[in-house]
Amino acid sequence: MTSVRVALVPKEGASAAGSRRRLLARWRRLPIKARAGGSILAAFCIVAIVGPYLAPYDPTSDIVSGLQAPSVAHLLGTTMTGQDVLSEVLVGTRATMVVAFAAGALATCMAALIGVAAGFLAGLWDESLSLLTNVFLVLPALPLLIVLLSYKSADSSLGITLVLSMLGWPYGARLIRAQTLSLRRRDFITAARETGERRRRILWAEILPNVGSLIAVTFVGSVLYAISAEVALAFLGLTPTSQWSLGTILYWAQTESALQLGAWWWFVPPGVFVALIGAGLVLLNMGLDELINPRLRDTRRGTATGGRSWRPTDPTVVAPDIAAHSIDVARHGIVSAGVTRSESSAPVTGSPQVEPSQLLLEVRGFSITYRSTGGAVGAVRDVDLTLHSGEIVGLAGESGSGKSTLAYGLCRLLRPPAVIEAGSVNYRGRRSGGARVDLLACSPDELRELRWSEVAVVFQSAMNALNPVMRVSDQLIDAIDAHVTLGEDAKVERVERLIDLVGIPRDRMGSYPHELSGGMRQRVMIAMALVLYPEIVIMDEPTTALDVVVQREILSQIIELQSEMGFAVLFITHDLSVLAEMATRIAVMYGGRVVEVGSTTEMVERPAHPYTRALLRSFPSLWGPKRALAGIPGSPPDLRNPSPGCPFVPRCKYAAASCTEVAMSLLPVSAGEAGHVSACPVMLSPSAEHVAEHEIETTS
Amino acid sequence: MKHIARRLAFYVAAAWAAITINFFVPRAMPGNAVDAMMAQFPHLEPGALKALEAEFGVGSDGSLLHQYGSYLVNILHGNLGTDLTQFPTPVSSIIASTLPWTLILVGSATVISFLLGTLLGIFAAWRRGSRFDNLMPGFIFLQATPYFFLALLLVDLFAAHLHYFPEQRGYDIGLVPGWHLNFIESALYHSLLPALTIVITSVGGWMLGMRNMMITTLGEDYVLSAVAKGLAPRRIMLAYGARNAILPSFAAFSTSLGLVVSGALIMEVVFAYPGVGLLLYNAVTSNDYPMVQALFLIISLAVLGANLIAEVVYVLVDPRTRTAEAA
Repeated sequence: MTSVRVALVPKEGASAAGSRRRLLARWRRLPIKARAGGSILAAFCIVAIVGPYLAPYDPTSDIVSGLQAPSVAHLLGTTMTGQDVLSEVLVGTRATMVVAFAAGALATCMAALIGVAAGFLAGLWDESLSLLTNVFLVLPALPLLIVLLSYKSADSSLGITLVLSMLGWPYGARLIRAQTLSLRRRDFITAARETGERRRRILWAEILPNVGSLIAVTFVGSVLYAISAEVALAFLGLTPTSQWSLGTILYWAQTESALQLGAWWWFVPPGVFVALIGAGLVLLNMGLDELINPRLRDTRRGTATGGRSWRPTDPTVVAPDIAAHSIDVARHGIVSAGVTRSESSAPVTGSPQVEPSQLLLEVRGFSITYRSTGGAVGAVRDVDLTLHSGEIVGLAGESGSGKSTLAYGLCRLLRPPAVIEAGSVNYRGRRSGGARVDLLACSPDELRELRWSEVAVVFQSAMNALNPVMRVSDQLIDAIDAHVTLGEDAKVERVERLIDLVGIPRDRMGSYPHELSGGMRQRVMIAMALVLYPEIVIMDEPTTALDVVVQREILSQIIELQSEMGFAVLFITHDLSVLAEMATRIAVMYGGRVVEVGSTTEMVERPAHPYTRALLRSFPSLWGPKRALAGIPGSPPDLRNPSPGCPFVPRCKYAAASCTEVAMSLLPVSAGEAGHVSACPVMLSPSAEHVAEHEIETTS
Repeated sequence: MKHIARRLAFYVAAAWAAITINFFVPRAMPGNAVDAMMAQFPHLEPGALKALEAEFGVGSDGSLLHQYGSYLVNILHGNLGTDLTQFPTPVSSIIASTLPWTLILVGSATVISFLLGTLLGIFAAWRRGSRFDNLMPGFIFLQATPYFFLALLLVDLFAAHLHYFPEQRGYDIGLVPGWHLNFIESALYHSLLPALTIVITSVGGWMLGMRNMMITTLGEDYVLSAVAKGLAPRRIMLAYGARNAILPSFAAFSTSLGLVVSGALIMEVVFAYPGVGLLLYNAVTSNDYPMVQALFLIISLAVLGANLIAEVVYVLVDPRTRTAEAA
């Protein structure tokens, strides 16, 4: 519900032609359902306006003999008493539409008024208005309508309109109240209140534009409700039967047994008209839903689905870092040599201990692109990365640098607009008996087997990553059940062991996620990740959502568990100081590329890329001494239109003219330090070295 | 406990509102209801007339407040007045004999529709963009079609022309209602087409709602973590996706009960089915006001009761609401 300010109301343009073009462009950008529904409704509005003038006959006069089948003279035949059905329908459409739209508009006004008032005024007002709304919501509307009409109060269309709107408002009022309330709690309005901005201005400038789309939804819903109620009442003969509306035509057709007499042309057209108007309204509402809830929007379904390991769901990625799966593997045909199915699915044998410093994961030439209608975003560009057993590799960078996309991409957890363009992710684990498995090329079933038992993930927000309606212990057992066959006792024992390891009291095992504190949830997440004793644990900013004290506790625990159990960690963070404390090696990413890799000591003491250096200065050390902090001026690069050369140039104080010309490549920093590479040729030159040393001295 | 007390207070308030509306509506209407009824029933017995006058406050029964008080007392004693068309049968006993028809047929049809729609919605979302998902517009059209229109077309086709089902009523005319096989068989046979029409027209709404909720849910992190855990697709779909997506659908179920009742009412008119809906319709068309009043009250209270049940079940299926109560 974040971007509710949608393109419903066109802004006034400077020139008429320009605004028309903009309007057209906006129309094209609306979801197809909204356009289809809007078109149907527009057509019926035209019928309602001009229909009565087009009617070939007076619908009330009996001109010809009754029950004639459709003919050229009477396109839809005639009724029992010889009236022209087409004329009746044309005239009746107007009456039905006028009542439905008027009642819908009135109900929407009431809903908006009551909903906004309840949400905005809060307190006692909210209590009483909400009570009123809820009471009306549970009272059965149609029986109440019938009761009201039975007392002959509504002999006119106006009366019916009023009664319909009286009963149509509560649903919308409830929606609008909830939205207003959440807006009121949002930062910008709280801020506005604090600056003493007048309430009326807040209401007009902040709240109403943001509930606008909801009001539109309410209007469409109310009209839909009004039209079906009006037609039903007319059909029951509870509205004046002498006034033509689509419902009264149906009433007379039914009373005179049109269907039994075979006169379908009398009964079917008015019903189809109502159904079409209703379908237009439903479609429009679905389209509006898609505008409000971007997850429902139908963009492309992603190219190949990468098999059916799980169903494609969410083509539009809301969270920038966590994208969708759909991997176009087949197209790249990256199949590692020497991997056969029997090897990759070999059962676990022997001890989980692997020899130290064995190469576990090798990423080569990895590129991921988000393909949206607005253009392609190269989120990860040509990345090489290795992970050895028992090692903690830190992956650092600002948000948007591509570090999370890289991590999720290598276990194929990305969703549709993200497409893996190129690369290989070779994994050599115990399951494959030392042979290589290309994670990007293996089948969905093979992948499912490797997941969690070999590569587990600790997600950034445990609150969101844990199933809210499942007990914590059951979520751990779920992971066990998917991979190994264990008896009930063994499973419970395993879960208890892990729960003990991460320091959660055993009596919390049966809790639901929402019953635990933030730190506790993250511990559960870690316990869950370790429940199958994986080789690799990917940790995506596992502590950023926590306060500093808890953060430290959990980090220490991770280090402890890691040295005890010996799994390798790929640790994603924007905080280099965290990595300085725990990582074996650090890789720094910028603009989708790895710009520097090296051992932690090398990276902290001799950073060879200006971006690494800037990152080091922008965070306080968790454990270390105080030093002056400095932000990084400028903002991350636009990955839609990457400029040639080094992406950091616009923010770099060492940038030279050559930086924008030479393609980036990782170069060894010094002959002595194997594995320390940087993509900055300027700083690697002897003159820059001097500048760098000097700078470090002055800042520390 | 505080939460439960609040909810109970809400239901008491809603019941009070229904009762009060029921009291004031006939009095607020222009014209004298009793006169209208006198015109409708010229041979009304003196006893009925007296009862009517008391009920609608026409006689010398004291102030409005006084009338309201005795009305409340009557209702608390289950005294809903005397029927005019079948004088002197109490309204409550007529309603009691029709209520089971509506409850059984409409109740089971609604539950079937909800389950079926939910299931279809789950699959539509899981196989998003598939051929099945693309059938949605068809369901939308069905959903937008007026219930009675579709029902009458189906009756014309399946009952009048093909003779698969009986056209009208709840059981064969010759039978006496009771717990014997002939009657039960006949009642079941008669209920098939009405139930089918209810399911066909309402399943699309449930399906659409569930599909959209499911799509939203499948975008959640816990579904992603289920995928990362290497769970079987079916497990992800049901235990992680559908299990969470059904909660709002469940909440919608309780608020749509009012609509369900409305649909039932028209269904009973179309099929001349012997339930409360037909009773209400007949009472309205024959100006049988005591019956109208009593039926509205019964229907309102039934909807409130169903809401309460739905709310209790919701607490059972969503652990988060339980904590809110404890707090």
